[in-house]
Amino acid sequence: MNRNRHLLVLGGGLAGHATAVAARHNGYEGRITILSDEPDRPYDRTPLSKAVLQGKQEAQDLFFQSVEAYREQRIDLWTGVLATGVDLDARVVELNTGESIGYDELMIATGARPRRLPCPGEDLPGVHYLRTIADAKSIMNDLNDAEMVLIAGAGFIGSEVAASARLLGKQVLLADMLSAPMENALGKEISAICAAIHEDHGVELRMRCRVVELHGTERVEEAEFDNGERIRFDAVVAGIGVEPCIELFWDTGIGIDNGILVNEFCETSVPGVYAAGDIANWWHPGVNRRFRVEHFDNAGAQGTAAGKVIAGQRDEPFAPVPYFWSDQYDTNIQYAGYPIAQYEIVLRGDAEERQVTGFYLQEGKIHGAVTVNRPREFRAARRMVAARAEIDPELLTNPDTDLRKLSREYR
Amino acid sequence: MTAQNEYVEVMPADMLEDGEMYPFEIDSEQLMLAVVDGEIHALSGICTHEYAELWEGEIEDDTIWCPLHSSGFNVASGDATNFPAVIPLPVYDVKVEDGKVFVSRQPVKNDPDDR
Repeated sequence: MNRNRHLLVLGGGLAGHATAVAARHNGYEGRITILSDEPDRPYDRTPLSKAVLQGKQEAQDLFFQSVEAYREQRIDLWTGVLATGVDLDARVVELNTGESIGYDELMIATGARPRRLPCPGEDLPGVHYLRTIADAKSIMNDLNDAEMVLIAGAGFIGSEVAASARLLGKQVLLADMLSAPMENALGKEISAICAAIHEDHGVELRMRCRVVELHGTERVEEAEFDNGERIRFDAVVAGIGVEPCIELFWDTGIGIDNGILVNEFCETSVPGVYAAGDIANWWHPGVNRRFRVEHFDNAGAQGTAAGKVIAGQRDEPFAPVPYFWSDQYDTNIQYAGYPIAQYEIVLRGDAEERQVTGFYLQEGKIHGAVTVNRPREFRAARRMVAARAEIDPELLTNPDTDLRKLSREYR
Repeated sequence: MTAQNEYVEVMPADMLEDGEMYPFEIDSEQLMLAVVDGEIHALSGICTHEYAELWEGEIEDDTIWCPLHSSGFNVASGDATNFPAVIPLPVYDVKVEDGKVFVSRQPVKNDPDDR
């Protein structure tokens, strides 16, 4: 490894941070630069929709590490700088400052950005999207004076923001085209419990429903739904998914399909160029398929894996069990497994008590597992997913079964 | 003011099982013993990411997994080995004398007061 090399990390989210730290930690001796268009050094976005909105955590407590720690690791932080062009043949990135910066290794960790509502009025003041600290601050400002809040989209961000707004005492209407919150991620049985949890807390749900226009003169005042109904709102937060930030790479010849294509070593089609996190569409050698994962855990784990490869340790393919969590009100939801498609579900626990562990079976094998307010069982359930275990459903549902003991053989 | 080298008796060593965690309190701090390969470790029992009682989680190999968000900590060093936690767990010294486990009153590593 050569001290004259330069690893340039595009993107200052978790995947970029993890790549830089892991590359250094695993022996990369050259220069490392993280380039971020945000004003702040890398930080944890996951509390933005929860503790930060609820006023329980300050933005300055979100940073992954101190400025001094980056200095000690000889990682240069270039914040507030936007990459405007890239030449993969010349190995040069152009910046909005007019400068350009060369590299030997390039990590593409530009992440994803919130999808805009596809309706008139989506850009009115008072209509918010949540990705950054600045977004969270602007939502908090608006929520201060708001009574009625519309949350458009009941995925992760929408469900968590709905819970936070409700905890702040706002009247909340949560709307989605699907039939229940988090349905895409968790399927209809668990999403029905998610719906019940919102209703327990006084959120009004409008499912199978679409916002067709947002009305207002100086700011948003009213939402119009596809059934013709118009309802007054003081603020709107949209969480209808994200799209990968790939525009810099369209004309570079690099392999693109729903994000930047990478193999199980985070390598793109261009030698020396890697991708990780929300933007990476990766090949999972354990289940022989590709997916793009928009979750915190993957950004950290894949960034770390890429950093090792960049440092020359190309021995272990990246083949984890994907994982995500969500906290809403006092409910902790965790899922380990592959994106759900066709499945049979086996449930244990008590849906009325909002405490359930669910196993998603494909061809009899455990392909995913969820815990709703049953964190003690999560790790055991995850081990069964990792082993793609085949276990008698009656044993799984039996309340007398100790999952930790049952999963011991997969440890 | 308590002496740095002070130890507190926690529990009989023969009660401990491999791969398990045991919560206890010293000066209303929530600590735990974690046993791996016959080795007894004492660490803070509260996740450094967000409040969670780590002894409700599980140990796999030498990693303690938080039950709520899957932060990972090395059982011996306290190092945060899996996000979302980035701050290491305070580690306490352990002595076994006359079949009893004693734990140092102060952390010997990753003391939050030193940060």
